[in-house]
Amino acid sequence: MTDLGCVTIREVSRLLRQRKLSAVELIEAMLSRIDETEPLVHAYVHVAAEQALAAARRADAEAPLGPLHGIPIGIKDVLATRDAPTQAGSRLLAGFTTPHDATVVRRLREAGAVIIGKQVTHEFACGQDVPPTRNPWDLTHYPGGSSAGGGVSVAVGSSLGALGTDAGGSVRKPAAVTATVGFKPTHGRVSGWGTIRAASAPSLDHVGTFTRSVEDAALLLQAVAGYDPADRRTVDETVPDYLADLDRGVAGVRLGVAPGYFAGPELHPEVGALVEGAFKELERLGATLVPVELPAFRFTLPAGFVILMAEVAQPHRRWLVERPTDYVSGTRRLLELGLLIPAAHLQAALRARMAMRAEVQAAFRQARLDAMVTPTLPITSMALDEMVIDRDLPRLIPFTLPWNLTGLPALTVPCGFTPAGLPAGLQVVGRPFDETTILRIGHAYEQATPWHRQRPPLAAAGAR
Amino acid sequence: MARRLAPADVALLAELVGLRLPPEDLAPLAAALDAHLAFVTPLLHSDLDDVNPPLTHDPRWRD
Repeated sequence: MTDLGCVTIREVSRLLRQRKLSAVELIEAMLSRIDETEPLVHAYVHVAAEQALAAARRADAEAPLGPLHGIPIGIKDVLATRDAPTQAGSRLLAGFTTPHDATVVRRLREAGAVIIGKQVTHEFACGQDVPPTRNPWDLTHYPGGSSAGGGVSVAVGSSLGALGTDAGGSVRKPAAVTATVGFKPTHGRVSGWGTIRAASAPSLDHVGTFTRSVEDAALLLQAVAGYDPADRRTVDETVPDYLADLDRGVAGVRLGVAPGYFAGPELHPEVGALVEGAFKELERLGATLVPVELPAFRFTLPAGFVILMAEVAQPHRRWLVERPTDYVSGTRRLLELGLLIPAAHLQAALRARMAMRAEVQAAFRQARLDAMVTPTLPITSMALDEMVIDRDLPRLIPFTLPWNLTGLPALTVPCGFTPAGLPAGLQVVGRPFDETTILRIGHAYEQATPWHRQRPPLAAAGAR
Repeated sequence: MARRLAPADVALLAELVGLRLPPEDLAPLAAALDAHLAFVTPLLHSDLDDVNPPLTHDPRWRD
């Protein structure tokens, strides 16, 4: 059996199509991999072994539906699945089941993918508790969140791809700290219908993907993208062929950099050096770096937190009264604060968001940018025993949250490792609905560098 | 320096939004709300009067 710690969806798909591997063999190997890795990394809350094997048997009996046919995908535990509980990491939803699949889950199944299980999230995706999940690059370190299980499972090979949700960086952050590819498409590109409402800030939230390569990210997006009448946030824009331009390279591409915001004092020098190296590599590949100013981005954290807290808190009003002790205390505190935010602050935050959006649009237009490049996070993963959630959450998301506020598509790809062996990510941000360009840029960088092929020792050597 | 929120202030605010908080939660929540407001209040002093809040939701740009 191929080493599941290293392969991509594209590579496994080829083996399946050539009948060198059956879907049942693949799922059996994946379940073994889960058994090996879970005691160490705790990426799953529910492994749907029987359902996955049944789906694999059906996949083997059918003509291939496409590149995801028979491919095991993990699902964040805030996205509804008809055949497994959806508990959003909370005692309040213990045992909750629904007869429905989230639209993205349904679309994956229609593309032939096999849902292998539900993956760990912070309680209600709020980022206020410490999940049991561990970072495979250093088991004493934070795995990122809130989609904690998704990045880790892809990094160790206990899934080949995963879906998460991202309202402030909850896909890109765990991807960056696990050296995987994390992708948040444009707001409105992918349906969020079937996301647990109590775990979502609707105007900021995006369904995104974890994969081991940019090409795999394109494959997953191709399956889940598109207008959904059940989700009025989705936009009826044509879904292009995301693979068509992947190999076009970056010669002549203009990439905005905004050191005034993305290279401030919060950027750790080791991460800064790695990202500078990535910028140089993109220049070597033919891209042009163009400095731009984004002064309104200073509003990112205050505006983002106000909107995030206000939106996510609303569905909790009744539970906060009737079942307050079922929350993790930090989550309850965040939600109570969200209900107490003065209207004046929320109004100012909404206006600040529009100022940011206008400013970045003007920057793209005036500097004729194809995309922007930034560090994904200002720091690397931190040791869990040193982490203070209230203090550290704002330190983790200042570079990811702007793209939730503006709705622009953002991709993170691994761009190297610190001397301590912890990964860092390069973030590529595009125009609205221009996922094609950032996939192309990310792919070109990835093909020219070795980082995405490095796997944590846990994955490369097997878990035992 | 602005007056700090007291537990009684938070109790009143909570009542107004329909929350019932145990007395022991009031002081820590008052401190947390104070800290949060200190962090976000600069938004109120920013020049955003001429910026509209989102009026419709459409992420596409209109040139």
